[in-house]
Amino acid sequence: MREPIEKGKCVTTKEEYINAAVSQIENDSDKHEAALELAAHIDDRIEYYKEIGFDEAQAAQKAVEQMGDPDAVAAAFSEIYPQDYAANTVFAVLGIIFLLFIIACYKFYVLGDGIIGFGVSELLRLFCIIELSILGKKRKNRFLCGLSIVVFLLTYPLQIMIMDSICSPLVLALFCILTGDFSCLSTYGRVGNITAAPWITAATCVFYLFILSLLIAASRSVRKLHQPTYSLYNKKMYRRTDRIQKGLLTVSGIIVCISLVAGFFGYFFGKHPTDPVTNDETYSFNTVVIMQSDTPCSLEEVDPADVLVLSPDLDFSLYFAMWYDRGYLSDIDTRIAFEHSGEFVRVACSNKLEYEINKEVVTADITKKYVYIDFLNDSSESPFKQSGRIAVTESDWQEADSVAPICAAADSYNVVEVVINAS
Amino acid sequence: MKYSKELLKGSTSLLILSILGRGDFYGYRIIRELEAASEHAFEMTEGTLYPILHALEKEDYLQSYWQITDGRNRKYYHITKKGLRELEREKEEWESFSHSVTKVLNYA
Repeated sequence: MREPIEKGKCVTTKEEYINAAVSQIENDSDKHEAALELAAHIDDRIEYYKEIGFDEAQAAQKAVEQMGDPDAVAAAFSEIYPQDYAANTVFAVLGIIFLLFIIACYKFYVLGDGIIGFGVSELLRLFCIIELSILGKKRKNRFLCGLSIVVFLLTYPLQIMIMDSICSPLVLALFCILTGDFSCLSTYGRVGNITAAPWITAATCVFYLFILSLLIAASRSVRKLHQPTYSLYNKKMYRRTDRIQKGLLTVSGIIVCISLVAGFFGYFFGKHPTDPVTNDETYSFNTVVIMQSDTPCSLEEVDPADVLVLSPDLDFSLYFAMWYDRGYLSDIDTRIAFEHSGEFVRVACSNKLEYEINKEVVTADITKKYVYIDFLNDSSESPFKQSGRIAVTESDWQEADSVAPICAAADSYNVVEVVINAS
Repeated sequence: MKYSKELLKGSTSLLILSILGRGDFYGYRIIRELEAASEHAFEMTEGTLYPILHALEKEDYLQSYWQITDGRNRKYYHITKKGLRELEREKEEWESFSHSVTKVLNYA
């Protein structure tokens, strides 16, 4: 908050004049610079009066008088440096957009699709850095700012572990550079089999460019002050915060640039997950086998009485819709999607095993702790028969990578549903 | 002859840009140049110069830099290309305005 202008206050010294004249400038750096400038002017004027015969005290007095009304100067400065409502609004809007991005991406992250192109973690950091650098310009927030930067830096490895393993274009780019394997750039800026992927990628790039232009604008506003002769304010502190801000902005700019470059490379040279190459990973099956067991076991070990084979006129195809092998994210986000042309609609577990087949809902008791669903094709080998199978658990259904089935940790099977026909 | 502040008010940016069109100067020097060029007809309240300079800088008519001269750190102002264009525009406007005023005054 600005202090109100004290009208009519008698100003007699250089310091009083300067303090009054710059009192309405909110930004500390601008205020400091204006104070230095006015001080230099008054010093010049004092020098002049001394040269024409006035003593030190008289010269100082006349020099201050010559400057005129400090309140008028303060009022004029307040018009030039208005309170930063615009900047605050911009950052508030950015914050909201940013949150929307996170919400929009949440679905994809949870499902494992991952809009890697958005580089949410980078934007989060970028936002923090910008905010911190702005906070750092306020004297009263300086401690908080310093503390935040320390915490920020100390937790950086943790942030990388948590967030970058999912969505960091920076880590992706570093991975490419370190391993020389640029094929994983294909994971950047792609949104699985969603047809709007190019638009989303374009929007991402525009967003990054917008952030970059903000950074450039912010960098331009950071002025480097040379050694000042007047220490009305703590000049060392200001020069340091200016340097920190400049450094942070530079780092942010580099991150954004890397993200952009990685995005463009990924977009133009990467392999799109929905490119024909993914057809290699499409499988067909016409039989669904549902098995139950008290202990984790292989297919052969399951009691035949606990095996339920559903084999109507099915013609399902199953394919890996997402990135089956996505470089550094290998295996993390692999998902399976179904296409069908048969009548088999869904398998659900809700205390009872329930499946809908030929428009009839059939239920079966769940008597064992573990439920497995295997998809087979009697004319060809099931992709899962050899490599694993799907286990329906309380948390989700997953694809097993090994012969040993995934163990279900849950005791009950509430709210578990595998919807095969989403339509 | 000294002019009223009101008369000076509308043309201060023109006068400042005009002074800076001759070279880079710091605030105090601009005041001195203005006084010298006008033979002390224009003597502005010195403190008010700085908000004007800052406003011109914000409009990108001027750029500033700090430089130590005579052992003192001073903020110099440099007129930009945009500032030069603005100077030309204001000059033309002023000439047209003063021509019109003269015409009115001489109108019989």
